[in-house]
Amino acid sequence: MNPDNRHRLAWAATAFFVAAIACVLAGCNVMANFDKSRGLLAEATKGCYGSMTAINIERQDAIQADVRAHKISGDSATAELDSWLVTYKQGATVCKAGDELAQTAKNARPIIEAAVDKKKQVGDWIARIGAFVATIPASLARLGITGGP
Amino acid sequence: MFDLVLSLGKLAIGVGTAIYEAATMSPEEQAAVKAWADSKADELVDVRAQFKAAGDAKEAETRKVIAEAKASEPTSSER
Repeated sequence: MNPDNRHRLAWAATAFFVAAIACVLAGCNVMANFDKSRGLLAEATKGCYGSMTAINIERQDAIQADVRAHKISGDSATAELDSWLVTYKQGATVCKAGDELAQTAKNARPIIEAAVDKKKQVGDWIARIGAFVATIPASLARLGITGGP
Repeated sequence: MFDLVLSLGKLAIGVGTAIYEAATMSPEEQAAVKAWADSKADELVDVRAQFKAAGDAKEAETRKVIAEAKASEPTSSER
């Protein structure tokens, strides 16, 4: 995920979730807001998986090109690949966390809809989802994962 | 400063639009939003599987390329 797109995603997520929380507080349809939030979470998670796949291909293509051109030895290439795969798998856990949150939110929907304190629960969920989406780019950047779409 | 004002303006418009849309949503529209969110969550199951398959395939491909490169490297006795 390049810095421009990271910035756009974080900004869009913040704007949307501020709007959603304001909407819940203002008394508009809470479940529709909950649904929009979890839909956006699923989209962001899809983007996370897509970015990780693109970055993984980019990194491994570079390793392949170097070893083919004999710029690095086979052993160095293996070490480089193994080192990248550790980072890649850590990045993948960020995407998987979004995936799990999206599935949990989907499964929790009927319970939330039937709850007495539905408005509070939806507010909590939106805040939780919003916080997660807004931190995806930073989590990947902390792992040193840059580049890609 | 101009950027900040512009950003806050965009945010205010976004908040206002979202509140208006959600407040005026019909039951059919609400059902459509729910169906959309459910379909997005369901899509993730396939996306996750494709992600894993793509990752595994790329790793296998790279290991094959490395193995081929290693096989063509001169051994210590050849050097």
